[in-house]
Amino acid sequence: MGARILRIELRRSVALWAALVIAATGVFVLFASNEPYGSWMQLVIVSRDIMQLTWPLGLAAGAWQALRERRSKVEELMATTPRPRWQRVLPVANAMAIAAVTAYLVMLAGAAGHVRHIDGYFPLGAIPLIALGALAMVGAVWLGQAVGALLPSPLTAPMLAVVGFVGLAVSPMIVAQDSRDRGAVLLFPYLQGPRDGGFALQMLSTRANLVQALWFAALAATGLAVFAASRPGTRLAALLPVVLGAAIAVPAMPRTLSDAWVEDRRATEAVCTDDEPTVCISRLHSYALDSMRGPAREALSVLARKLPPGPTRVLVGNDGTPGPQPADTLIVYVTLIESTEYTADTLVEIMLDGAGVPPCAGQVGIDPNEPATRELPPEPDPRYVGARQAVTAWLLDRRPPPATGAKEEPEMALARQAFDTLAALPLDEQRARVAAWRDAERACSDGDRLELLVGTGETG
Amino acid sequence: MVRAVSAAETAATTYAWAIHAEALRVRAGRRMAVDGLDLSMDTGVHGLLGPNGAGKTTLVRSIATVLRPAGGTLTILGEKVNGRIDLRALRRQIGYLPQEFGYYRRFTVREFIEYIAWLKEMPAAETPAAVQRAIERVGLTDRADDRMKTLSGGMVRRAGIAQAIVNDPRILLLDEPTAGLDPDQRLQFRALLRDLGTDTCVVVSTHLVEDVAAACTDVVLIDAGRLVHQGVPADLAAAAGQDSGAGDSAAERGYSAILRRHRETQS
Repeated sequence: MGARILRIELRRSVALWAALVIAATGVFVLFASNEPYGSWMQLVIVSRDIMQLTWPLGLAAGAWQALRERRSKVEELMATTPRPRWQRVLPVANAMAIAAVTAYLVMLAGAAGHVRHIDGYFPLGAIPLIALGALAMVGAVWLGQAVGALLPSPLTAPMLAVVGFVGLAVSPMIVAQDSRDRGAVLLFPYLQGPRDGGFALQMLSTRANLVQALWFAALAATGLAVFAASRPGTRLAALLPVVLGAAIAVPAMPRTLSDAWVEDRRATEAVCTDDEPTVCISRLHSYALDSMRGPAREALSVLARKLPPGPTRVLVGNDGTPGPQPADTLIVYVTLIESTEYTADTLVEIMLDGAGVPPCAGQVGIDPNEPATRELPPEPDPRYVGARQAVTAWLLDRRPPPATGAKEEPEMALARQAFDTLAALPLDEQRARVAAWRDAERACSDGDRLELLVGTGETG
Repeated sequence: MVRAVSAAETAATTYAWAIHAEALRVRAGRRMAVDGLDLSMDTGVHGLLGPNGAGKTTLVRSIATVLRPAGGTLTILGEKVNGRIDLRALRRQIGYLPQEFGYYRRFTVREFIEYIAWLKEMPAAETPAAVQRAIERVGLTDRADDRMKTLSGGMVRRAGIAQAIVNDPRILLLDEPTAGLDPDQRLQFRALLRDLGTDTCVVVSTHLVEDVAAACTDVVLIDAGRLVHQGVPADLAAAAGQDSGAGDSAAERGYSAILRRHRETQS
């Protein structure tokens, strides 16, 4: 029977409409507020972040629902029925909870179209984030129903929406006024992403997830209990879950928000192709593996032909610290800019850049011991860059093109000169020079690379 | 019409009256609207008459367990409702149509009555049939799956009666049930009342003397919170006598005559 009543409530209460409004608002904000999401994790974190908006909407929906008995003037009739209030409100509370969860999941599903690589890496760490988002939404509608039952006025719902939105915007600043990195912000229904913005590679620590789960469950339990209570004494007792929840959650909370976000090791692990040639890429970018296979085969065959014995594996890395490079591995540092579609030819060129050896940080003027800054890197040495470009051109049998514009970058002229000098040498000599250059590059040794490549002293 | 019989009903009756009030006092707001009422009612259709403000609605609400008595005793189905007793078992056996009948506009007729049946803790297995029966008895079969908000005023009233009778109550309280019904529906309603009155204590509060004369087995006339007269409807017409009281029918003339005589003796 309860199931029949639940079905009626799902169809006839505001539950369905509430779900629709919340989901539509969420999808709109998720689409409108951001560029397409580079990873699933980013979408999930942002979906929790915009709960600053969707959570107060849940509150308002709950409060509006709770007004129904007063609005419909059924209070007198219902007061004469034997079923106790807590049993009477359960179906509609459940209907609203189902609506809240559905709204959140539909919002995520709807915004999935805004994820660049929908078949990309879906981290396990996203699952607790989604579950907690749904739980927080249930808390929102139940708390809203509780407030609506206590203050049965048509103004309650809009007021809750506004107060909730403003409150969620202001209170974290108050809680964390001395430091923007307070762990206590995790007690709020919306979630702030990792402070360094590395959404794709991080996840919330188990401890932070557990504390949030406990706290959100306590909030929801209190909301439901206050809504279901019919006497002031019971309402007071209904505050118990939230008091207990706070007593446990506050001390157990990670001290800072940075502590709460931990590295997702699985995201950075390399995944490789099973067949030849072996191409490896971080799991986060595994969606690109198939498109790398053909260019990798071609790049490896070029290296095998021109600089035997060439490497046998391609490692596509998006970041990392270049150190001594193994000879059998072609390390391609493709900055996979999410919005760029790479053609196979471009990928081959990128892979063969510097004969598959990443640039030495020291040579381009970056101190690898310094953390990366947002400032522009220093201008690299044109002689170093020119030598690299000459080697790439030599491998591709493609002379660096002459300047077309009025002004030419100095390294382009150097590269063309070096290419011509190299091409004039006997083939064995060419091969020996490039091999020597590559050894230096792999070891990241000091010294002038252009001199090493075409070293007769006439350059410069 | 076969009605469902619950275990509680087949138990031997241990009380003399379905509703029994002794020196009953019930407050409506600050006013003592029922003030020293003595009344007994059992199976049958009881027409509750009285001028505006006589305390009809307050009496009905106290029998419906909305209001607690402020004094005296009120015994319903053998249960004294004055103390802090658990009203749950009692409420299962009451049907109530409030004067201002509220409903959920978005529910269909069937859903709303099913919802009330659930609130009345009817066994789940019996509910769908009971709901259908109640809808048929008030003549809303063809509108059963329409939303409540699409019903006319008279249909809403009938839906209100349907929700009141869905649990086959032993006490059925109808406050102004005929408001908004057209003449034909009133006739059908009177037939329904007579039918219900064979095994239920029906209390109908109304202004319409002819409804009472036509459909009730018992007339209860109250004024200023006290019982003025109780008897069969024929008494009303008889009371008119040679008296030329106001009214178009004998019953109406009797009603105003009894009321006038009562007020004369009081003053």
